[in-house]
Amino acid sequence: MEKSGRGIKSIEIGNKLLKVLVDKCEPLSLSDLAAASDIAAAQAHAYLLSYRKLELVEQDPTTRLYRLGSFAMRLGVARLHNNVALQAGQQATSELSNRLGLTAVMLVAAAGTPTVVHVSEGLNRIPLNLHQGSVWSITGTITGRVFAAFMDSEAAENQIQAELSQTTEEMVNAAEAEFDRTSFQQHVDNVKKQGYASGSGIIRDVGAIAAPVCDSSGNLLFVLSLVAPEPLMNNGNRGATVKALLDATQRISAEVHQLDLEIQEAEKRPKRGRKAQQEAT
Amino acid sequence: MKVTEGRGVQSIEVGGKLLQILSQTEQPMKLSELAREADLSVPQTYAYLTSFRKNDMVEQDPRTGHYYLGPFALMLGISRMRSFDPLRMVTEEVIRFASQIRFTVALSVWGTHGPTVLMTHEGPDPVYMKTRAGTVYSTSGTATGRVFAAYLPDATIKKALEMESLDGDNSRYVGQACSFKELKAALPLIRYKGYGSIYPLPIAGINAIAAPILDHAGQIQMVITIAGSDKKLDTSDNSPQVNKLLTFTRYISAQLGYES
Repeated sequence: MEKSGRGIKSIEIGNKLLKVLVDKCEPLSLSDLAAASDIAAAQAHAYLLSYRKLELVEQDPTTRLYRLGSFAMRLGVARLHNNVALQAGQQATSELSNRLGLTAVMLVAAAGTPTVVHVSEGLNRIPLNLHQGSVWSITGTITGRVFAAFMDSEAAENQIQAELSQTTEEMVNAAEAEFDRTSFQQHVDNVKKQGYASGSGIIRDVGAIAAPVCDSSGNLLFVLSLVAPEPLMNNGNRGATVKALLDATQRISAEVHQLDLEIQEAEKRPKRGRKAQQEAT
Repeated sequence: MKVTEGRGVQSIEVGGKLLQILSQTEQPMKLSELAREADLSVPQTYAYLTSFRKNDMVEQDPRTGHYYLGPFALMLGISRMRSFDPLRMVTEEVIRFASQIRFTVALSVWGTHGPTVLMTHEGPDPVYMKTRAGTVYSTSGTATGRVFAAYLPDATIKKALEMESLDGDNSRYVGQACSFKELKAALPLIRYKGYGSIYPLPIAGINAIAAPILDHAGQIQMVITIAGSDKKLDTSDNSPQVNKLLTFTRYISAQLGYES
């Protein structure tokens, strides 16, 4: 999307710093941060000083490394609350968990990796990293297959390669079995075809059913995943559980597509000039 | 760019003000509203928003022309969640808090067997409180357990009470169990006041007050408990210790994204 008009140069330089912190997703030294943002270290330092005042960035007192601060969390949470699709996703997570007694998890792709943003725990504890910010493997979880099938294919491929090159114990929930690329691709193709992933065994005795919510252009917005010890999953008739999940994701998708349509209609209308936009009060 | 030694970049701070306003509003905002609240001119505000839109920090609804936080705001939040370990932060904060308040402070999470102590930090007065890392509290018979009960789903609590009732000689849990009905009746007050205490005392002579740490979705993540001699620790509303506990847990909850 083209965004015309003159902006504030410092904001755009600052955006580069923030983008590096988001993409790297780990604490960085001043020199690494400056180099990755293509900004002189002294200049980066001045920006970081201001970001620290805003608590958008913080510096670890021991390691001196910079990471995103508490204001970053508040900005993310505000977006989670204000965005129609994300809000509906969180509600569905809680509803599904309460109704089915299973653990429901909402994940988004961040820096190419499935990341937990919302959890509603069921009655049975599950041996999984389940707090907000937990990272799940694309190749090592059932839920990951939904990401592989529906997220941007280049980002997915990069992540798959990255996971395969890592030692298995580093990767959360990684499969203990040898990874077979051909059968993984078959699983992913199957997920694409049926619109959801279902299975177990990657983490022993834990079953998962996961389905995507995409916008009308096919961009993956988030994935809802139901997880439970396998016996529990099957007691409750797996077919019914799949249906409950798909009912929710399809309902949210329909809402999102309707909204996209309205926005596209509005964008087709004659473009307002800068002056008119300023006066849009 | 205006950079003076140690001063930072002024535009970043001005821009931060706009983001702050957008993070606090429920509804997308008009340009003029934003400008007024940030105390900026309209063209200036427009210039900032133009730059924020370039990296999707801010979006504009084409139907109304109003502004709101965009997908990059979510990415910032997620990146923060990933690079930040709440438990580590809370652990460090609890130590600081305990030495400041001069009572024993315990940090608990909801574990497989119910409220489970992760760490304690002892105050200057050693108190006998049967609490150390790994201690499991009774869900219904301790202040800590009742705070969990006040914020967890009924089904979870019922299951925990069933397990407690199997503990015939009451040796595995700290605190005396009561019925679900009895417990349920005590919970609205805990939610209303934001903290819990309990009578009769599970350990004679030791008072306890407990308050929840909530996350961005309002879900309970941990409980902080202050324990001390009933002659020193005042459990009544607005006592200095209650106020300090609530200030502390609200601060931690805010770090986890909770908005009260």
